[in-house]
Amino acid sequence: MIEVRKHESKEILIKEFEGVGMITLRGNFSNKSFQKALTESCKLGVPKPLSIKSNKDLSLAWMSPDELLLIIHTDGKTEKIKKELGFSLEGMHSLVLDVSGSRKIFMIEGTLWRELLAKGSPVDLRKKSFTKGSFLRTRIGQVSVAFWMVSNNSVYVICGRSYSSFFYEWLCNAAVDGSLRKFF
Amino acid sequence: MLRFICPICNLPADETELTPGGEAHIQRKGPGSSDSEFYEYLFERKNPLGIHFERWLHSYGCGKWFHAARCTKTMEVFGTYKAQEVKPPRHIIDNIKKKRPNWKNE
Repeated sequence: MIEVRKHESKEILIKEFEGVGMITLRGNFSNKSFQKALTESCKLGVPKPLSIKSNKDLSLAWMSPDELLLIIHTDGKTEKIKKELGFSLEGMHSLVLDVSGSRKIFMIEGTLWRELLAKGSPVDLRKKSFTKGSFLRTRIGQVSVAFWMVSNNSVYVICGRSYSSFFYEWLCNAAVDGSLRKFF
Repeated sequence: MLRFICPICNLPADETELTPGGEAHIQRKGPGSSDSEFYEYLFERKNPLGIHFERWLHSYGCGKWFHAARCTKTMEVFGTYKAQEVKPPRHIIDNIKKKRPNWKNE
């Protein structure tokens, strides 16, 4: 994970990263062998809809009823995990695809991150609705994104690589000093 | 604003998160059908001022298609159901009939 750039305002710190390992997984979640392959290679089970499961190295997120996103937080492990998954899912109707190069990841830190994201996103960001472990796909400032909480004061946002410079500028603009008021 | 509950992820999605897919439950007329039937299948669409069954794509969410029943006049939503249903399910019809007793399913 390489930090590309960062922007600091009074309330918010925005960091952009590239080179985060991400693997798209498709398959039949109710299939016992699919579940077994997941637990063997990632030590994580299939997450419930709209949620994310994490351990030290990996996060596994629910994207749709037949799609998962595996995020590899430790550098240099993507190839190995991809191979392992490929072996254990062999012969099954499934997909294992490395999408690391087509995504960027943003970390937004600060107590007002909910207010920042709510400026451009239609989802319910109240504390009781969007909690730790929630994973949402939506759009922020017309860009399709997915995000989940890291801690109470920080959130990870994934977006497509080609939109990332627009999205970064959108975030910096939305975080201008004095433009955020405590709401949630 | 139009808001649907996506039947796949059970999340409220507003109009800007969705892509419209037009009229629902259109039966394909392919080879073997008459020209007029094929014409009807390709071009003829209902455009009611009232209750309408539609297809919608949760494009900014789970990326799946689903069906919705709504009123085009008042934007009232009567329910959403899976894209695999070939006709509106019983509970949706009942819900519409409860709210609009004069409505007839054509």
